[in-house]
Amino acid sequence: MTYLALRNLFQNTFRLILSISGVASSIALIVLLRGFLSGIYVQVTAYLDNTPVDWVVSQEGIRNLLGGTSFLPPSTEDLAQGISGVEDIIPIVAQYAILDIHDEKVVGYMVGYDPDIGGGPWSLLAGRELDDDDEIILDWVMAEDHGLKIGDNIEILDEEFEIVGLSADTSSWMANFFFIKKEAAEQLLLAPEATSFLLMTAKPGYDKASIEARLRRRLQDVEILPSQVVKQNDLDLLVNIFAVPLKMMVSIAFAVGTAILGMIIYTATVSRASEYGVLKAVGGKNTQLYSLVVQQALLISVVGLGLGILLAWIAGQAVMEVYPKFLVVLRSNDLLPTIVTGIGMGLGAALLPALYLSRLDPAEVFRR
Amino acid sequence: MIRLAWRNLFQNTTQIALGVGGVALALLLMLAIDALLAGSEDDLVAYIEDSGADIFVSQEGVKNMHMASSAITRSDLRLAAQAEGVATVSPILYTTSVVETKEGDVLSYIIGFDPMEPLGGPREIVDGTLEIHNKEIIIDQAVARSQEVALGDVVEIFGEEFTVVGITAGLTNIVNSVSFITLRDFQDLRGDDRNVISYVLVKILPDYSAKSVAAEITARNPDVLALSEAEFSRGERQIIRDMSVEVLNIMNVSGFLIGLAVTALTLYSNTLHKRSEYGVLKAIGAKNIHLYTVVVAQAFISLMIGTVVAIGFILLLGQLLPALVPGVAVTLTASGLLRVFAASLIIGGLSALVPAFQIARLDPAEVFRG
Repeated sequence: MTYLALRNLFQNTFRLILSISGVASSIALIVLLRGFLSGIYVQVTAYLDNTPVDWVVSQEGIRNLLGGTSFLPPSTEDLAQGISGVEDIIPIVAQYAILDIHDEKVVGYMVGYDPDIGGGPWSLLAGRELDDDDEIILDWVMAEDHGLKIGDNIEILDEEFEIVGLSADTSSWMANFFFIKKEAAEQLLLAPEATSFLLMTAKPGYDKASIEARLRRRLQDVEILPSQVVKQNDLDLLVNIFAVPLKMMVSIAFAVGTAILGMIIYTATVSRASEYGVLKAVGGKNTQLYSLVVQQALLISVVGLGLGILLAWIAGQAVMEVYPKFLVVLRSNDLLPTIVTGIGMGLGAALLPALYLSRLDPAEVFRR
Repeated sequence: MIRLAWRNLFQNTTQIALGVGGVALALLLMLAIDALLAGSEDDLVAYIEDSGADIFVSQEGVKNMHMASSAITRSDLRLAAQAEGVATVSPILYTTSVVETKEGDVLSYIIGFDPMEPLGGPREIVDGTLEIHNKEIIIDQAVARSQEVALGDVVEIFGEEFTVVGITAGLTNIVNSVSFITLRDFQDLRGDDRNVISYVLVKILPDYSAKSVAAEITARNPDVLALSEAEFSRGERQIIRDMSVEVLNIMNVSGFLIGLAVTALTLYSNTLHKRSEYGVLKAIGAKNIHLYTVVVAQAFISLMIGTVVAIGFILLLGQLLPALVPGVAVTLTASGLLRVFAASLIIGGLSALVPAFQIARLDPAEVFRG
């Protein structure tokens, strides 16, 4: 039966190509849009993903990194020093800031850090670490978008900074990261000795729950949150409202895409009605008809799905090449529902006309 | 020929349903995603546009609110008030922060306004009161619905509790919402100097132009920038679009291209499916131009029916989605509809004509053999 299914399918190669192309197009869209959505989630948590810490300490009421402005009470860092089990304490000044680039206002996420302690860029594409207060490491996408290179100067809140490094994996659909020294950030915000967040790491082998309890006893009137919670808060806050239309787009693409897939396979099956009639006329049983239809639908669905995923990957790479601030992430977890639904829809769409045909007399099939 | 195209198209109801169904689904895909994008751009600058202000005065160099920080003083406000053509000046304090509710956190513009001043606060409410006192807050309906917050409930800003006394409408967009507290509460929350304000909202006298009054305010005080409401909202819209809407744009383009591809494939298949009928047409002496006319007319009819069906579904979505998912707007725009229809007509027409050209070159008997 498999041989017959294949021969029958390849009898009209062009029609087969059209069916597979249609399926591949709809699947490509579903996978690509899902990839955009996943990319957005990855970008939101990029800083904490790449600056692995156990706790984030912030101003009371501020429970995320990217959502609001945090200023810790002045003594917080001193109080945190010496708590048993705490290995590293990284103080940073971080908040959104508007950069003046070629007379254009550009929003960036400023991180003021101490290069000797950490909290800065995790991947330098070019240039070097910061030495002075008037130096800046800019996200490379931001630099490229605005025609900036190492050695150029840019203005932030009326202060001039020289670009000494370009960081990688620090761009985002919302705002790109840029890094300056912590003292420079304090000066920019007219807040000497200010710290927005303390990023803390536990010593290996120590019980994190006990350390957290000690932190809570020592540090009053601040938020002490595990890094995972802060990441989730950022996702909830920034992606939740924004992702609604985005998720709707993905859902619509999914619903319409699978409907298109079903319709294509339904059409392909109906267009072979007379051939299935011949099968019945020469004594083929209904089970053989179903088997033939299922195999053909499976082949179109599977090849179309594979091609669609490949197309989505190529389109994603092209989008990231042309617009590097967007990230398209294709994950197997996200692909699975599309694959399962696609194959299910394909089989259903093929079996529906087959069931109808099986109930007809072969001669009836030709008359239709 | 058009009548022939129509009759031939509707000869087989299953075929027309499948052919038009495919086109309708492709159009639905393109139009629905475009309508979601258009909907997501609604209300981006609602606070600025609905504020009633003719001019916004900010710190020198600050041209918008989103992710911006502006600090000016009461003396800057007084200087602005002295400019010719100014009717009223109202101060506001502004920051972007989190409104904590029992259900979760919501990112919001926090506006601190003086209830005694004519501008700065919400202009209309759909529930509760506009009269706000200390420790009270007015939030937007979309937040109230999504977070299940009602009048009298308590929310938190910067760790301080506020009682919800009013609900506005239309002040939530895809990136954030707008919440209002008193200027005094805002100053207490941030521990700000009471002399510092973020923006001044200016109402001008009749017969004065916002642009010229704004220019005069800026000329009188080098520490501030005064922009007409139109310029200020343009800057705000641009920054939000650059930050957030671009990704939706890219997704829209992806949906558009794939939708076009599916339209082209469907109309191409439809023509190919009818090759024997077109062969009959040639056999009885129809010229190629007649064949092309029939093919294009059938593609056009399919697109028209598909468009009507797709629009029907989108209007239905426009009613259902906002009710089911707060914060989602489906806005079918004339430009979006025109763009999708025109592109589909061109690509679909060409796709239908490609097999017609091949059929036209063949002997009628060949068509049946193929």
